Amino acid sequence: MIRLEHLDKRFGDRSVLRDVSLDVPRGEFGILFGPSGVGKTLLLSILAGLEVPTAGRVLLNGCDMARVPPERRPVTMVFQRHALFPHLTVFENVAFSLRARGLHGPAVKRRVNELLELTGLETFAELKPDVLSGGQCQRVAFVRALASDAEVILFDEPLNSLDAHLKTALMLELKRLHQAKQFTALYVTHSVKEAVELGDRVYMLEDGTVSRTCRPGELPVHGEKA
Amino acid sequence: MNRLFKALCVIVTVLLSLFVAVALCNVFVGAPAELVHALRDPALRQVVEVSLLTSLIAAGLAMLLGTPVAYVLARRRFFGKAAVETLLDLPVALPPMVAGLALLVLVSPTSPFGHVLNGMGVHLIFTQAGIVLAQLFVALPFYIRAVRSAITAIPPSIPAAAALLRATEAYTFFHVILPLSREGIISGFVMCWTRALGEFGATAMVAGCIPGVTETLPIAIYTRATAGDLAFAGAAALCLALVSFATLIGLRLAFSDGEERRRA
Repeated sequence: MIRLEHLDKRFGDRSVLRDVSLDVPRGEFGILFGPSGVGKTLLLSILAGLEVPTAGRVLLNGCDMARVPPERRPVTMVFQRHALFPHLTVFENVAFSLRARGLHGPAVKRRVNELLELTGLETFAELKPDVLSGGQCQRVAFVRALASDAEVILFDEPLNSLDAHLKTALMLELKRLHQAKQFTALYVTHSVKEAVELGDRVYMLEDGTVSRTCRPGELPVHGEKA
Repeated sequence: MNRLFKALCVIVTVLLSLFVAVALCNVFVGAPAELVHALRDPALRQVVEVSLLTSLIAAGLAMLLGTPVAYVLARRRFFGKAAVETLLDLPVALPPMVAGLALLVLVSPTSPFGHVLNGMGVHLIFTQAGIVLAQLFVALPFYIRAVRSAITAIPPSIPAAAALLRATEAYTFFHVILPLSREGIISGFVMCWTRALGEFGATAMVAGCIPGVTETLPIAIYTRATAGDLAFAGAAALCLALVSFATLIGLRLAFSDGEERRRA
């Protein structure tokens, strides 16, 4: 599970996050909801260990992450622009985390093929990211995150640059993957539709703090199309 | 006005190209028979061998030492970083003779460092090892600059993604950073090598000019030309020019594919 306790982040005199506390229970799909520029991505970076909080604690599965570097946290992230390794094929991108942990040979092949089949990406295995569409890249990024076996997956507006049709398809896919793998998720978005479709619980971030926690159905609808 | 500007640009380009071509042709086609004879001279072969050997070792060492330095400068923030960068860049701005004098003083047996080196049996003055040292000192910043730019150009989300996929910093360096900096590493190596190959001032100060031992192509061009042996100097110059030309063509061919892909 994810627990943030009284988290602050300041850059010089500028306070970006103030007294942020939240709990995402194990296996739940949490939505971090709020307008652009309120510090949603920064909060994910702190959770991932890419940024250090000025004050407060990050606990993952009950363990304080203060001195734990990103590669040793039980967490991975799907970035807004997928951040696939451009020099590696789809297969090698998915296998990256397995190889980084010292796995080699048939075990890697079996696991990667299983994940690629789960998402219908097996025909793209030998292609490099530069020939894939935006939607395909993001699907590879989902699978790559699953291959890391992280208990917590952070999503930084992963569907932002995609068209409405593709968004709907990928939301369904993500929902299916979450049901199949039961990971704990924290998903950053400013889209009500995404929050309602995917989330179990919504944390509204306003003015650098969590102003409200609610069920997705309680979110105000502003006539959003996609 | 626009026509005049366009015409002026074309005229300047043509004149400059002609100037370079005429200047180079004057060296190489002065007396073709003597030039061909000089090209077959075993002494020239020795000079070419010394130059290629020392410059390739210097560029190899630059690659070995410069890559981690470029990585640190590109990816880390630390106190005094600007000072370190300036210091490492200094040999580019420093006149080669000054660089040579600094190295000569540093490794001479009368200096503490030179004394230690002598005690270990390492002799750098008037030796090929001295040439490598001088070339490395002068050419290393070119390699570091190229590789540093290549590493800086990698989006920060890429190494962050690697870390969040359980890769240690060392694993990320070898499996992500190095492959993605390939173009910078190759062009840095080539720039460093060609700079080392053409190095004159610092090399002459540290290694002198012992025929067959420390005589490199630029030193041979200078010593033979001042001694009146223009055919040998011309042949040595031709060798250097051919290497530079081949290098430029090679680099263009090697990277044209990548450029095409980026444009697409």
